[in-house]
Amino acid sequence: MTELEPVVYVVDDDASVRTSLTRLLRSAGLRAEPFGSAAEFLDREAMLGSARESACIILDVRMPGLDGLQLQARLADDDESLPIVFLTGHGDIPMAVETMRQGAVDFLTKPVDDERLLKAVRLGLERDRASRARREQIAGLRKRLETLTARELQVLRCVIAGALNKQIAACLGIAEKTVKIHRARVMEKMRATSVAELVHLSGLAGVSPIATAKRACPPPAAARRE
Amino acid sequence: MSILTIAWSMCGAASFMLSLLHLLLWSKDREARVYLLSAVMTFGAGASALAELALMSSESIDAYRAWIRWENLFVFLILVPMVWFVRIRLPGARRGLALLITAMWSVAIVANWWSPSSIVYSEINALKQMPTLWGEQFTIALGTPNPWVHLANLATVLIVFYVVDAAIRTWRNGDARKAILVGGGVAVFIVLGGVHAPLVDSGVLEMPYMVSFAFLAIVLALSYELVSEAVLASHYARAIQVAETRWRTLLTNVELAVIGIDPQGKVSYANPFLQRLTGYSSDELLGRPITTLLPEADHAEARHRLELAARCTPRAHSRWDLICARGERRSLAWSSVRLSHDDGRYAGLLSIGEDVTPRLRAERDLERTRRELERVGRANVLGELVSALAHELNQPLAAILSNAQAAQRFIAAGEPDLAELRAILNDIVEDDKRAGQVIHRLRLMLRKDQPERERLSVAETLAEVIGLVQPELDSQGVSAQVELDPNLPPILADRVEVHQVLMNLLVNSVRALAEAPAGPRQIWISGVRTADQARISVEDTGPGVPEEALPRLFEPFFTTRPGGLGIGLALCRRIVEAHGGTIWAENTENGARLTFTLPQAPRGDGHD
Repeated sequence: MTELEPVVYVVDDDASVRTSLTRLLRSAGLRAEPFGSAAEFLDREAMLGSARESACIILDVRMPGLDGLQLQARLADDDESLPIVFLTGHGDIPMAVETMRQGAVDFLTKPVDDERLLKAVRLGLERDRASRARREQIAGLRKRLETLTARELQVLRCVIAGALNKQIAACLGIAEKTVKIHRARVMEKMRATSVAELVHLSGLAGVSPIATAKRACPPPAAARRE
Repeated sequence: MSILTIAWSMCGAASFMLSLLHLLLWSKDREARVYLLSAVMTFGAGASALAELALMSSESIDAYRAWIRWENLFVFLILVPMVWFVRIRLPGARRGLALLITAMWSVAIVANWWSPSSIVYSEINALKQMPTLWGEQFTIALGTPNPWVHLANLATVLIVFYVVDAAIRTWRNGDARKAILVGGGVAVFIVLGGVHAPLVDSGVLEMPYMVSFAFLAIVLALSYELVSEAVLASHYARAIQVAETRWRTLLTNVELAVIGIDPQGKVSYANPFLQRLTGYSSDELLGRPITTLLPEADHAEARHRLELAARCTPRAHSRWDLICARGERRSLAWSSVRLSHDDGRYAGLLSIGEDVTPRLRAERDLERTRRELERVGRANVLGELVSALAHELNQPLAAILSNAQAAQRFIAAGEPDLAELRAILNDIVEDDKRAGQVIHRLRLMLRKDQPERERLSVAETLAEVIGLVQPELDSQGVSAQVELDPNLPPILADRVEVHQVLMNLLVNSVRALAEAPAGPRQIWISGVRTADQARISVEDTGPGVPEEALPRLFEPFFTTRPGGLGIGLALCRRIVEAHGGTIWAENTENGARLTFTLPQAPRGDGHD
């Protein structure tokens, strides 16, 4: 996947504000794309889908039609939501708190100092880049997980629950040696160099360890009897 | 003792008594000339009685001649005053006739003295002794008649005509009693005396002259009239006294200031309330120029008013402040009447004043409260608009800052694109102007001074207001349409107040639309010309006004909106009515319509 030049979407109903912000971003070496309303922006979003560059939004609150807050709520439904920097002419504290709680990068009031705005925008872009990277990593891990056999997945879940090879073997009713082989396969397929890393990657990929493993393993008394 | 002597003397004495009595009455009341006339008249009757007695007992032609001259003079003294007496007592009497009779009799009296043997005879030939019925002797003259006597006789006939005519006219005017008593009495006895005397003169009747008796009867009739009037007068006097007491009680106890001002502008009367109010005693007030009670600033005006009052009816109601003894000021609302003498001469003013100081104070407080409330109302509307205005102001400011900082960055980066910088500077200038306009409008709105009427264009004023509420309209998705009559005249109104009215109505409509179910959100603003006013309507497609709320919509503190103060529309009504217009609300098919009228600016006032 080629890394595209990051873009800042400017959503404001006031044309002169829009123009000036676009210029300011351009002067700071950022690509900016202006939108006169939330609806206009949503149309563009739908067209781009997920195949897009890293981006963030500078969003006005009070606008005709869909306002800034409503747009934020709309975007939050999406997993891949863009970071939002609010820029408003008449913000109040409850509004600021609410937007931040909903995950906004910053809540700024007009007129805004360039440093402050650019800092927020860069933070937003950074956040978007990071979340994109994480999403990609998770997607990669999921692919690796898919290469595991059912038995290997069982072993993995036991390993990350902290179980010893002996315990695993007892639990799954297979030889300890077989467990060792499965375990090496898992480490290889997951490209993990240590158990600690394996635990970390499994956490990222959303593999749940303990609950299923406990139920799968019989109590120690039963093992002794065998 | 001679019966003739007794009878004529008694007649004479009675007449003299009456004469004295009337003279006395006249001396008490010089204005009543009718008493003087009747005094002369009765004196004439008395003197005539004595002259007749002298004639009857004359023993020589010379004596007879002398006495008959006097007798004629006394008859003159009876008749001429009687004519004028009648003129005073009977309003119907003709002045011309009275003058004619007076002139004729005056000529006759001159002739009486110029003729050799009085006006009756040109020559007395002999005296003749005649017996009365009871055998007493008396003298009459035998002579040739003087032609001048016809003048006197004609005058006497005229008197009868004059009196009867006056009586009839007076009767027609509704005063029958006076007409009969004065007119009838005078006429009957003049006929008796006036017919009898010439008959004796001409020797047809051989009897003593009895003119004085006839006139005594007339005088008695007239005196009866006068006396009954005097009795009435005393009745009136008593009634007046009762009324006077009543008035005095009223003036003393009433809680109103009563002041009399004489033609010189000095206090001639001050009732106890006025004394209590001012703290001056009656003695201190009486004779004092009224201006000394008034504030310095009112002196010129007061003097002017007093001068005017001498010539014409004063203004019925006026307000003057009084300076009290301790220096404080009281405001009184005065009602004044001009007093005049019987002949219409100015006699001063009588003024009744109500102390309105507490009421004025209350009104001032009320006015202040109302202004305050109005300001609160205005602030309320403002408060709701301030966020919109702040937004509007923030936009250009934000754009300016970002543009300027972008330019700084372009320059800092070196080799800036000049076209880019030019565009930036143009935008900055435009946005700065935009911000300036917002500030200007805001200042117009916040101005808190006395109402100032000026010539306003409805279209411009409307545009200013719509400019102010545009953000509000936009944010609510409301479209506003303006339809103005091209002939709509300029209005005469206070700019800020008209702004407030329009803004209130627009904001109300926007709020009504916010409650409306989905559908077109529209406001129509229309302006049409009526006879002498401009009529402006704001109509919306909102839910309308509940029917039961319509009549109370403009009352202060009445609101149909939860959280509303109920000040906006009350303020609108106050403003519109202060301009001489009206405001009303009605429901239409689609929503509500609020309409108000404002006066047209007079033609040629200012430049157009």
